[in-house]
Amino acid sequence: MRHVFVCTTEYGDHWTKTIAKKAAQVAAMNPEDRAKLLSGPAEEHADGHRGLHCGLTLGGGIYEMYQQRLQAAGISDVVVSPNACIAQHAYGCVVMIYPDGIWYRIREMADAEKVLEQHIIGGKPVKELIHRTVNPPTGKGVQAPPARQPVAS
Amino acid sequence: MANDHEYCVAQAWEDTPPKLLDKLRFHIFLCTDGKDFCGCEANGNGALSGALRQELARRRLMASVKVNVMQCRQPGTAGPVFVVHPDGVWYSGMRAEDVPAFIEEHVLGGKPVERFLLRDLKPVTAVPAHIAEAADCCAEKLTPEQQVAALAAGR
Repeated sequence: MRHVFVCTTEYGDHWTKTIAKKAAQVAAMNPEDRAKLLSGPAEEHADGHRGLHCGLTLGGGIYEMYQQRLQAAGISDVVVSPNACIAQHAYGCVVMIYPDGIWYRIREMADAEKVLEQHIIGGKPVKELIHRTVNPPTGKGVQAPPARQPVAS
Repeated sequence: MANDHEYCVAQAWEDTPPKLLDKLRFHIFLCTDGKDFCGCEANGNGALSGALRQELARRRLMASVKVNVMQCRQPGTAGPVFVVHPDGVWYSGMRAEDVPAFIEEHVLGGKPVERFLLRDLKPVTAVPAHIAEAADCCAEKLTPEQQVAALAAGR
């Protein structure tokens, strides 16, 4: 069973004042401007830090879209979870797919749809969107680091 | 400081080689659902999360085990839910005092802790409507004006 994580700060606990302020700005926009912001690529409205964009512009939309599309397609062996910050803000929204261990960087909605169709439904990784790959499971545990030597006083 | 999120600035990350995940073996996602339709918040996920991070740090395993938060969307389960990837092992009902056992058996030993496994995983992609209504979680949608007012009142 595939488990898909979509970065959505709005669901997380990382509500700093800066994010809240930005959220208020986005929320106060008129509908046309907000729609434009939601559909545009992440770089266009970067202004210094793109970290806010997973939650405020793309993340929530991707999460809703995945839910709706998977339900419409009648696919029940995929779990989609919203997750909070994984500190990859600079790359825009990150979608992680386990157990394949692939992190995608999503710049715009079209990328998210491509990942859904090709990977989540089709099972083939989308090479050009891969952000990081995670080591495959080894079946063994972690090697414990050696014990620290006591400091001589 | 120019902005509060200096570490998020794109340039700093783009220059960094992707060594972050070199040693990663387990990626743990804990449910931190504040909306209370799963039982995680009520059963002490905060304590579990704290204990887990503390114990991993104490044993110096932070490079091989990454802990992040998510929402489990598993209504009706008891206790805090978390999932260990890339193996895809779901746990439920673990308490803070069980964390050392979990680290010994699963993280170091490589074998899932049988007694805490989540058996009836619900492969849902959405919150069922009746649960959403009962929990009053997803029905609450503020208009932009209300959001601004709420944020202004909170400051």
